[in-house]
Amino acid sequence: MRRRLWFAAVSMAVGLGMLLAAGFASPAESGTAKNEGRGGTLRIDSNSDFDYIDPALAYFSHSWQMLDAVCANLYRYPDAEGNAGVRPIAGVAAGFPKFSNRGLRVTIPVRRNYARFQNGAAITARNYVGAWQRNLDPEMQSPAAAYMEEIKGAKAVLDKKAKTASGIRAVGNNVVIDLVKPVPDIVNRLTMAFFCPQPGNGLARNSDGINAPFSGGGPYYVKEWTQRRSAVLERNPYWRGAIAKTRAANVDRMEYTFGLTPAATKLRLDRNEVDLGAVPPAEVAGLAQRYGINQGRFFLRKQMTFWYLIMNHERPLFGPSGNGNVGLKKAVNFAIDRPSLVRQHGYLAGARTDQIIPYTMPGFRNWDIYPLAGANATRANQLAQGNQRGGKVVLYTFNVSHGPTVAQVVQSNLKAIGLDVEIRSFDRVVQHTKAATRGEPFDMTYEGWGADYADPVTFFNTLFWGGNIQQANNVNESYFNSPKFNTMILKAAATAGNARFTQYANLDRLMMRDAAPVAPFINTNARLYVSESLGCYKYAPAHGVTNLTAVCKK
Amino acid sequence: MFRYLIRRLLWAIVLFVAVTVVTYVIFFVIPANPASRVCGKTCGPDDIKRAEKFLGVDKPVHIQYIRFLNRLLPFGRKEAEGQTGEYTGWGFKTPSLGNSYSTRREVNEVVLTAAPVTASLVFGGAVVWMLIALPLGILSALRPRSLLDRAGMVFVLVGISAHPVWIGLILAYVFGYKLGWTPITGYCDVINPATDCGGPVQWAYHMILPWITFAILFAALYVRMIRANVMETLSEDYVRTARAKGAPETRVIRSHVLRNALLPVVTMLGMDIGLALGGAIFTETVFGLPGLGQIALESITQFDLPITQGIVVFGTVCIITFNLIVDLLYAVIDPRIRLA
Repeated sequence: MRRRLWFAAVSMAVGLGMLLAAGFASPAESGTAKNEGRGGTLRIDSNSDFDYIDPALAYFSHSWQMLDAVCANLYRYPDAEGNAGVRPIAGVAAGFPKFSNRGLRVTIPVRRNYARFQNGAAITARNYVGAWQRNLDPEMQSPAAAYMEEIKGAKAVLDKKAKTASGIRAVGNNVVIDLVKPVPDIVNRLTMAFFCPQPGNGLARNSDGINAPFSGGGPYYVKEWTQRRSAVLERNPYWRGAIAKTRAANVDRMEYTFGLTPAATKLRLDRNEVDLGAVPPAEVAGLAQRYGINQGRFFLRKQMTFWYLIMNHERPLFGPSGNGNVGLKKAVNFAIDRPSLVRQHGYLAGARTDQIIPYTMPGFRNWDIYPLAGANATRANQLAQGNQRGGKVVLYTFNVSHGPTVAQVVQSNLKAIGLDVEIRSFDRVVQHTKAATRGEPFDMTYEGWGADYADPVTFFNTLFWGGNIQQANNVNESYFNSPKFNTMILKAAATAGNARFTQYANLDRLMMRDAAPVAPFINTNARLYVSESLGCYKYAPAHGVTNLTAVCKK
Repeated sequence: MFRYLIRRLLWAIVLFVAVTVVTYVIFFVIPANPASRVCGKTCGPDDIKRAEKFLGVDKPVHIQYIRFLNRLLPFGRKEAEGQTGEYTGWGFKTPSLGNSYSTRREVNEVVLTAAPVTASLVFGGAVVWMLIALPLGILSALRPRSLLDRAGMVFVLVGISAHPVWIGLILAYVFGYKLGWTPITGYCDVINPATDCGGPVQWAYHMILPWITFAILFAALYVRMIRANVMETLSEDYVRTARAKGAPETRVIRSHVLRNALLPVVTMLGMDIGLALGGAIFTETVFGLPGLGQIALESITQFDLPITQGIVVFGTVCIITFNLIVDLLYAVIDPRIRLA
């Protein structure tokens, strides 16, 4: 009995002790910059951890945002906003590639003693070649492989028939790439984090990727990464000399905290406990009203992402394959109320669109094809007349956020042209998996798509080229397979320079006007709230995120 | 006693297999291919086949389940490093829960890193809820229909009705944001800190709001249970006898009432702690605690079967273990119960 009383007393004391300790404790130190401009610590809250810090494996947008500050790629996007920020420039490359052998050989000169890793070692052509060979190693199972399949010997490596791809090699201080077919967007592709150089004799080829510390020769290196908790980036001590003049690296250090809810991040931003982080969409209206837009605390920027309604060409309603039931597809584009659909995404969530190429992407031209101010029921009805084919539509959507409400608006809009829409909602992954499987019985599905890099190829060739339709895991969920447009898509992809963007701009107009395989309605905005101590705000339009190297502390 | 333990362990194995089979079946009924998430958004049929082989999802469900069981056993076919489904021979090996589909990290490591955070929340929360529930429940029972009793019942009503997410957000807003007495969110390790923030004081400072949030629901349930038990025991003959024999009221309450009234509380406490260890999802999410609940939520939304299965295994083991401890403890503290 006495022992039990003792036990109870001790437990009580421990409990009270814990509460007292908690009550009297002071907050943990958090770094705050005192000087404006250069220096200080940038504090970032992120709802989720990086998927990886290994450039061969990372694919989350905030992982790429971080790697943009860590990697010295051969090509990169300039630290500029607007259209200037989406045209790639030479990074560590001494200039743009030289193409020979009818575009099948690409030679990229690398600047000597220009960029260095955090250990002081100079970056050479070998560092890039080693990293890219590693991307192809089957042990890595890297998503980069999908962007390297035109390289000679790549398939043999992926199929475990060869150890290295014969098409990638270092010759002197040049990277030489031999291709099996020309890749006109190669410069844009090489801006991706996948093509970050790797230090020394090569990183370990583990399928779960590398851990900190990691340097990719960029302005910062990953000093610490405690998975699911935090990460620390510090300035690369060898980011100096000529290369330092090409790119700002304002803060000394970046501290990430992972796993916080947007609601908590909003409160921390209000209290200046953190500088950057996502806030709940419901807070946007209040922030815009309180601080104004682009006045120092709340910023609005365009993203290269669009949301659209897909029409399935392998179903009787909108099919058959080829251009399909063009009258009805155009009728859908006239019938949808774009302002109402955009509103479902939230306050200031995006701009209305009737085109495939987003506003900020090279190749965008403003074509006036379908009504942006609201539905044109008269024109929609004229086009739909006699093309309804029974008028039953199965619409797939996802069951959270704007998924259900967008579907309801569409259901209401299409009733006006005699279409009876049955909504089926699923978990986001399930919806995509189902719609991506050929033969799935849906007529329309609701999707969003963002660019991996700033080139229209990432939209047209991926989403609308009939040649990539497969049994499952399709991204061409409209199953659009028009011989005429297939030829135009391939032709545009094989063209280089400004002519390429002109071709894509025309393709955008012709495809939406004459085939309308989808009904786009919104180009999304990034809605960014920052702390009072953050200055020099700059956005990276090609990545759709804040430019971490350009911002500074006040 | 020994036979009882053996019987319980055998039941535990049956329960374990049943729970893991159900988890597997549920995952495979849902049409989502983890391989397409691994190989990137533009991968072709060859890429998907390679990814399926890499993840080991190219085989039928029952083969995948057998592989899972084989990995869990300390003796069996040894898997080649990083090669799902390729074996180097038979022998002793480290039991493994496999690797995550989405981050490819070892599930053992993920679970073992997150478990102390959840344990901090649950055990600390249990102390807090007992500190609230014991005095409130006992005093309410001793003074029924008094002001304290009625206030206690209001607390019970609020505690049971209000969702932990709402309670957590309100507490974070009032005490973290408005008053600045506590951190709004975050976690510090109590020992071997993984970040700059660490040590018992910072740990407790960061955990106070999560403990209170987590404890409110359980405290409300326990207040009601303790109150009912104490009131029931107060009307027992042996209590009346003790009073008739002239025993002081404090002794009657301590030795005769509480000793009997609190026996079911021990059972409930053991079961609830075991259950909560499997996932304190809401509290962890609101306060950004990198525990099992948050990982479970992420793994379910990402269709990361190995992580989900790892947490299910961990939760099952916790519940089985705590139930066993409670049963054994019950026999010790209640002489009327004998295990056979």
